[in-house]
Formats: sequence, C-alpha cells, structure tokens
Amino acid sequence: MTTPTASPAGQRVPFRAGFLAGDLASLDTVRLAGSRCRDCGITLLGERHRCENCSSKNVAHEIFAAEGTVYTYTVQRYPPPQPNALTGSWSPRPLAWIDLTDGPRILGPIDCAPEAVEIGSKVRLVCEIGWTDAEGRDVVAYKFVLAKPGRER
Amino acid sequence: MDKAMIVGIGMTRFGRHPDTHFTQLGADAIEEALSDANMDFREVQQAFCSRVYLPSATGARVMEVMGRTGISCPDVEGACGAAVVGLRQAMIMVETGQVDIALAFGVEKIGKGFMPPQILYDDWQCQMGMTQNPQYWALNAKRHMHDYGTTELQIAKVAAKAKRNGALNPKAFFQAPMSVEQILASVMVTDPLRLYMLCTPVDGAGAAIICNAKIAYRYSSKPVELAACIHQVSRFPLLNASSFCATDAGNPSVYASTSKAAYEQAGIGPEDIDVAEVQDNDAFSEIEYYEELGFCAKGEGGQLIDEGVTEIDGRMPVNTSGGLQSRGEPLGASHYGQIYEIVKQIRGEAGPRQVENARVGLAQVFGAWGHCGVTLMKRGW
Repeated sequence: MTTPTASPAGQRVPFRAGFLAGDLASLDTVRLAGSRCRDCGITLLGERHRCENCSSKNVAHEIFAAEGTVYTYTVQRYPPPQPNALTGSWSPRPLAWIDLTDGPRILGPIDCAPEAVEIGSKVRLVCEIGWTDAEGRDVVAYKFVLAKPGRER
Repeated sequence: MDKAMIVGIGMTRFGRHPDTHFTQLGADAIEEALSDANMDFREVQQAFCSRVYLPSATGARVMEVMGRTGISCPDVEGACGAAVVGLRQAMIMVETGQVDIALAFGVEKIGKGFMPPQILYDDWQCQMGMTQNPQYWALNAKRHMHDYGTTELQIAKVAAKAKRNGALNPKAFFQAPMSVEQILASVMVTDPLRLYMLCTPVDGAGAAIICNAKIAYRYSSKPVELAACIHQVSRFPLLNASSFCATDAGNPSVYASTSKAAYEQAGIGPEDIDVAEVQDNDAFSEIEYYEELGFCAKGEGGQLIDEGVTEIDGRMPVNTSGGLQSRGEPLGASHYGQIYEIVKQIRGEAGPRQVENARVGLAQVFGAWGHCGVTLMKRGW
C-alpha cells in the first residue's frame, strides 16, 4: 500500500488567503494582515489590490497590531446556524466590532464571560486552529480575549 | 420621459405556505394585481421576478402557471432588497417608452429559524459562527444606546407599535397585538434584541403592475405615480449586513444617500412624506431609519416613538402595515409588501390603518451586502 507523499493533514492555511501574516506553525506570531489605502487612508482587513472604499490601486499591505478596543458588542444567546465549527456545549458568546490599534474595525468573537465585556474594553488577538477544510488542511482562525487589566504591552 | 404609474397591486398573505408551490404563490399575487387593474395577463409586455432563496429561473417557472406569452421575465436579485431592483427596472422601461405595461413581482419560500447562511456569508464566517443576521442590528443598537441614550424601552415601544398595526393587517404573518411588557419579557436573542423585537423570515409573494401614465386611466381611477425609485449598493463600510470589516470612512450611510437621491428624483424632501414603510427587520433599526431617512436628527429617533409621532395617527406614521416585524420577511417579495401598503394608503383603501390625507409615501428596503432601495409614490390622479 502506498502512502500519499504530500498529505494535507498538518498543513495549515489561513481562514482566507491574504488575511493572516506570520508563520502559521507558530501561532503566537500570527497576526491579522490587511491594507492601508495611500489615497483615502482607510484600513481594511485582508491584503487588497484595490481600496474597497475609494477603488484606488494605491494600496499598501500592512500587518496590524494584535490589540484593539471594543467599539460595540452583542452577546449571541443562541447557537449560530449550521454550518459552523463551534464545538462543545453552547454558552452565550460575545461578538464585537473591534478597533485594532491603528488598524481596521473588524468583527470577531471574544472568548470571555458575557458580563465581562463592555464598550471600550481592551482586547488581545489569539490565533488558533478553527476547523479542517475540504482538503483536510487545518484552518487558522482568530478570536479575541480580554487584555489583562493594568498590563502594558 | 413619460411618467410610470402603479395601476394594480397584489400580495399573498406573508407567512407559512408549506402546501403552496412557489409558482402558485407568485401567481396568486400577480392575479390579485391583474384583478386590481382590470387587466388581462396577455397585456403585460415585460416582467421582472425577484427572489433570493428560490431557484434560478423562478420567474420563468411562474409563467408555467400564468401562461407563456413569450415576454421577457428574468430573475433579479439584491438579497432582501431584491424587489426594488425589479420595480426599478420596470419603471425605467415604462418611463423610457420601451414598453407600456410591465409587471414587477417577487416570490420567496424559506424555512424557519435563522436564514441559511451559506448564500450570504463566506465559509469562514460560517465556521466562526458569525452568521446571525440580527447580530449586526444588535451591534448597531448597543452603540446607538451608548452614543445617544436610546433605551430598551424605546425599542420595545417600536415593536409594540408594529404588532398593534399588524393586528389590523389581514396580509400580515403576525396579527396579534403585543404589549411592551410581553416584548421586554421575551427571551434575549442577541443583546439587546429580544425575540419579539425581531422579524421572521417567511414565505410570500407580491406584485405591482406599472404602466405608462398616458394609458393608466384604462386600468385604474386611482393610479399611483412612481415619483422615484432608487437602488444603490452601499459605500464602505457596510453597517448592517454580512460584513467583517467596517472601519469608519466618513461616508454617509447608504440609507441617507439612497433616500437623498430619491427625494431629488421626486423633487421633494422628507418633510413632504405623509406615510412611510421602512426596513424594520428589528425594532431598533426602525429608530435608526427615522434618523437616516431624514424624519429627525441623528440620535433623536427614540424621541419620535416616545412622542407617538410615528403612530398611525401621528405626525409621521411609519410602518402602518405592521412592518417586517408583523408582516414577516419573504426576501424576494419584501419590498412589495411595503409598496402594497403605501399604494393602499394613497388610494384611501387602508381601512383601520388609514392615515388621514396620505398623498405621498416612501418605502425603503435593505438587503445583505449593502443593497438599499427607496421608492417614492404619490397620488397620480
């Protein structure tokens, strides 16, 4: 019996091409990747070739900070519809628009007790394997956790 | 350019229609519109069908029931805003003299619960569980409460108004009044939005017959003029649907820009609107639309509901039909539910929901990924 020479198991891919930077084998170093338009100044998640705001092609790629501030949040009280990769028993989960420091406003889950988050909360990026794709590869996704109070980074 | 008039309007009851084939649902709405216009289907020269979850070529399949008269009948889509796309195409073809009579209709059939996300969201958004449409409205509500002091009670009052009005609408899915207390006691779905502050995706169909003003008298003694019909896809950022990045860009919201373009096309302002139907997929969003459509200043939407301004007998009635909260939302047909109400209001045929002296009406619809439509209608006789 021959073993396939290039097994996809163990290979890691980002949740979307151009949206993560860093060595996926070393998750602590992974950051969200994106763009800053040199014409209108907007910051966007994902490495773009045109600015989503003004359509300019004068777009620089950037790696964004791993910290942010909660602009607004909600708490999902019921499990989201299928398909989803959320495992384990369901418990209410905060979801927020987060302003990355000097970066874009992005949507992300916060892994914390619902009562612990508020507008203005400081959060920190965590990248981890989220699911396996159709090709059998591990998909690296993101979430946020509350930054430790009083800690300078 | 000629003027385009609505001479016939029809809709099924929006709700659960498990035993009705979607082609029959579409046909039922079309038949009511034809009957309303005293028109034979064979007079229709062009049709547009809007749908989202129904299959490809839904419009052509509805012709199986209506009769294959050989007319053009493509499907048009724009997520929950799909119907305004078809209506706008019909209006433009009539105004420019391409045809004299056009039919614009929408149909939808959808299951219970949160909408199946795969057609609206990327796979990774699904896998990460970020696909509950109400999450966006809840995120907006939470910030609005923070910035302007809007309260849960105000949101509940909007929901109570919707249910009160819907109880008077035989075409609505939900036809029972509900108190503010019952609404505030309902389960929290996504903070701060509770179950009875949210609309339900449902089945349904709606249809409008548009004809050149010069021949409208043959079909209606009360033609309703299409004074404007604008469709835009939102500039960045998308504030209300499906997106994952929403950095502030300083652009006006798509609701503000679409309504502004509609007011300009019609040569009127928000102060001229006698009655409005807006996209209340949840009770908070209606408050935001009071502001974005120009009925009040930013942040003052809560005051309008507190003061009863948007009740049927108020100064600026909004969602007299019960809105999406009571009607439910059959995506491809939804805007026709709004058009139906405004046409009935302008004709004086809204019965217990009648706004006194309603002459000019606005209908605003919004769909995922930034589709926004505003249709302005006024008395055409």
